[in-house]
Amino acid sequence: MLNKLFTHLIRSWKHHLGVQLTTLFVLSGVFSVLMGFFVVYENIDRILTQWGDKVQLSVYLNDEITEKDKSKIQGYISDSSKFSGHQFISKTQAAENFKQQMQGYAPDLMEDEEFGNPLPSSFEVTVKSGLSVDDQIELLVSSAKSLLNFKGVSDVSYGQSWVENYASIVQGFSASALGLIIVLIVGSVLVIGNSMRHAVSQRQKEIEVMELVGATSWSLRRPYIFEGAVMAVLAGLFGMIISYFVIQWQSGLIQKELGFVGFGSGFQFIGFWNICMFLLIAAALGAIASYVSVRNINTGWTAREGRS
Amino acid sequence: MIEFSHVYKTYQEDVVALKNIDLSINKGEFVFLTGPSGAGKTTLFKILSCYDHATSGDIKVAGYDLNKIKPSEVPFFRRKIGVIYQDFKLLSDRTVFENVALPLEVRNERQSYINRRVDEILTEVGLSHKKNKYPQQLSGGEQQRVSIARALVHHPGILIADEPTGNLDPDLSEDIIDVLDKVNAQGTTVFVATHDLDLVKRRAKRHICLESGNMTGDTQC
Repeated sequence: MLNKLFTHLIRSWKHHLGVQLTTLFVLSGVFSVLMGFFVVYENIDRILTQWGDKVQLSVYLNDEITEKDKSKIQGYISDSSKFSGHQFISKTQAAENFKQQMQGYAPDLMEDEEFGNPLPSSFEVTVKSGLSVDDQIELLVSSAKSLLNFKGVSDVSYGQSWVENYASIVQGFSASALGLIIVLIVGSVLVIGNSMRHAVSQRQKEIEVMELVGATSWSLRRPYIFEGAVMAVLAGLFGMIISYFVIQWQSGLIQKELGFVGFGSGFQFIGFWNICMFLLIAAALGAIASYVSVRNINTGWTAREGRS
Repeated sequence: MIEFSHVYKTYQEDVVALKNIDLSINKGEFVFLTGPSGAGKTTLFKILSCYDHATSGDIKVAGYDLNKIKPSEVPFFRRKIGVIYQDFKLLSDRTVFENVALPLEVRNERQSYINRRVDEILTEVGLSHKKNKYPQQLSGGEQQRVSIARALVHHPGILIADEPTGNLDPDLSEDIIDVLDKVNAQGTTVFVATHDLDLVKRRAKRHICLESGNMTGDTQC
């Protein structure tokens, strides 16, 4: 069976090399864009997650807070499974931190002995990591509400506007990624389908003869479906190689120019299992596109309909 | 083996290709079908090989009712018959061997059986030495022999030949009919359409005449 499918495949490539190569080039281009986009998506998602993991709640305390109330707040934070850690910042430490941060802008501030300290003491609370953006926002809002009810808490801040912007960036990126992926997948299906339709029209006589000697519908369709799957896997491989080199080339540049936003070691290519999954999906796409194109290849009467 | 009862074929409602055809061919018979161009010979053969539907009437061939046959059954019906076409219908990108092997391949026969059977049938039609040639490298008579070999390779019970000598000179025509005679002698029912009346006269066979879609004669010799 496999032997016959490969014989058909080789014959098809031999006799329609031009069409096959054109399809392979176009499809490789489509798949390289798809793969490139997937890699970019994975990396940006990773960076956004890293940013998300850095989100903190600042629980500002009244100057008059008693040790007992402070302990209650600390106990609540320590016991809650929503938070992964916390740190107490005293008034003095807050002033020191402020001075350090402002050193570049106001160098004399460090020496200013008359600097009245208006800064409150606070708890800097780190929220649990690995949550989706929506869950993270919900957790921040509900935690802020709970903490505000404690006696001695003057305000709770988690950079509300920044978090909302961050959420809309992630959601916008996910929506456009999904849209582009759908467009590219539909494009791939059309390219493979057209190629198969062309192959079928070029081989109308062969199909007619096969039908007249007793070939069943499935036995006529099977080689084309196999051909589509192989074509898509080949194009997927080429697309991956192209996108790998383009990403390697761009990675250094991105790391150099955009290192400050947390790209770390630059762009990372997808892992082995993702590669396998990508090729499997490509094969399935190829097979489906071919099936759609050749599903009416033979109805038992195609020879008559095509010739008389 | 072949039974036509009140068979009509009409194209576009006003062109009648076959009118009230009644005929019966028994197992092992050799029958010629003659008539001028446009008499309906090819239409009758197309219906007989499930290449086309009749408009009305009953047609029974090799145990199948062709006016009620389901599309999914058509391939299996075609595996029971062998058809020789005037234009040979050979695939130019396949060798003689590969063309002849097609009916066995679609039946998923083992490769060892295919090799043995194709060699055997090519020897019978005298083309074993040309099995690796492509159709375009053969003469018209040789191409027709390849077409005959392909029609016979799967041991069909019925062999239908539409103008098998139409493109051949008289000597080659006689050779082809000799091959069909040999096949018939082995028990295969043979039904041959031809407009070559001289050839029919030289052979003492049953002879059915068609004219303008009507059956005008059925001579038993």
